[in-house]
Amino acid sequence: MWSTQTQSQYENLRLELRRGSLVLAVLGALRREQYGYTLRKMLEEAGLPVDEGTLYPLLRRLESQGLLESQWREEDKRKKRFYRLTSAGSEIFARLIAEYRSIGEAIANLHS
Amino acid sequence: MGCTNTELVERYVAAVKFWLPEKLREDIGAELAEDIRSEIDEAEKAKGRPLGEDEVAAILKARGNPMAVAARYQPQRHLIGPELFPLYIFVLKIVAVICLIPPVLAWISHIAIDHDAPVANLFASPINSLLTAFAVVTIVFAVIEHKGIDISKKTEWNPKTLRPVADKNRIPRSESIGEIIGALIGIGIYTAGYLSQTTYHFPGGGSITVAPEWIPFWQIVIGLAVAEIALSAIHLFKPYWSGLRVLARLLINLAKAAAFCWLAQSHVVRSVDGLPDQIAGQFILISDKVAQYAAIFFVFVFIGIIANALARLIRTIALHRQAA
Repeated sequence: MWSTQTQSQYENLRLELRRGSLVLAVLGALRREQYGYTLRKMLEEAGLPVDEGTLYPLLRRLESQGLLESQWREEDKRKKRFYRLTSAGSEIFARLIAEYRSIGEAIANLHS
Repeated sequence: MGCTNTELVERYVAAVKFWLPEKLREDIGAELAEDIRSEIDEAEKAKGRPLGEDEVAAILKARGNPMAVAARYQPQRHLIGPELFPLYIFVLKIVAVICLIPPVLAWISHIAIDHDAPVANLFASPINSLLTAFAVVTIVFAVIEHKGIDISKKTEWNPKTLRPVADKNRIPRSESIGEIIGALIGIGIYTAGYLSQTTYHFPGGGSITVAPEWIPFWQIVIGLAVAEIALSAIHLFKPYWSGLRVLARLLINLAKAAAFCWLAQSHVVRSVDGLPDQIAGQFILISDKVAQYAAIFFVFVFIGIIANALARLIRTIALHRQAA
């Protein structure tokens, strides 16, 4: 059984690890246009649940960095904000995913 | 009184918007409202019926307090950022020492003159000056942070200009030489006979007579000076603290402090002749006040000496353990 301190250390490190990966997951998911709620559901189904208080500020940040673009449109009689990757975002995503894979490989090599 | 689900959501979104900057309010509010409605739609679809007021309230509660939700949309803010923070703390420490010395000295002299002063007033002055200084330092650093002024000279940084690592267990040779020179000067003055008399004449006329303890006091101090020369000579050749040398230094320092305390308590100025009464009275008054508060003052000196020796000993033991 873990002590409270160990549990809290684990949680902090886990969150730190997830924070970086989440950017990658969001960029990857938005290669196809999505609105906020469906994006959240998609991430959750893929095994990466994220609360809206984390996701929406992240979307805003990525948009202000020019990696995403958004558009308000009506769907099912409701106005929704749709997000998609920009061309700069696609380029950066491709490079980041390659980096992510090489990190994964390096860690796997260290453990083998 | 109950309210509709739509009203509940509207109230929640309005509460979040209240905590947001004006230019973001409508945009974030609309997206948040849409996200909540999508969640409610999905829950209703799964249950096959409209959600009740309590169920919607539970969804909103799970999203968190409106102020906390709004805070997540804002950029991370700090008065003093992580780059400046270590320097800020360093400056605060220096300022604390600088600010506390004058008020504490004034405080001690104040008690010496008027020991009936209310305790609260005596403490208020150092605390007030400390708080004011801290506030000024914080404002200066906040302005530097806000204006983005680069005071770290990152571009000019050169590893070769860094200070060498100080070995805290090493006794600097300059310190040992200084101690030897000081002790030799004391012995020289003593052997010249200046410290073996109790009456001293002023060049312009008049004389001062000191307590008879004056002569044995200097004999003790000169004896300790000889011991100090021996210890400093050892330190010149073996410039590192050891348990035995820490103990020797502790005993010499305690003996010196005890001798000074004894002299201070002896009402050292006994009479002043050939000077105006007012000046002569001042000499006697100061001597009496010194005698009165010597014990309290030297208690602090003894504590300081012992604390310093303990810190030195702990460091020495730790270094020996590391070496082992």
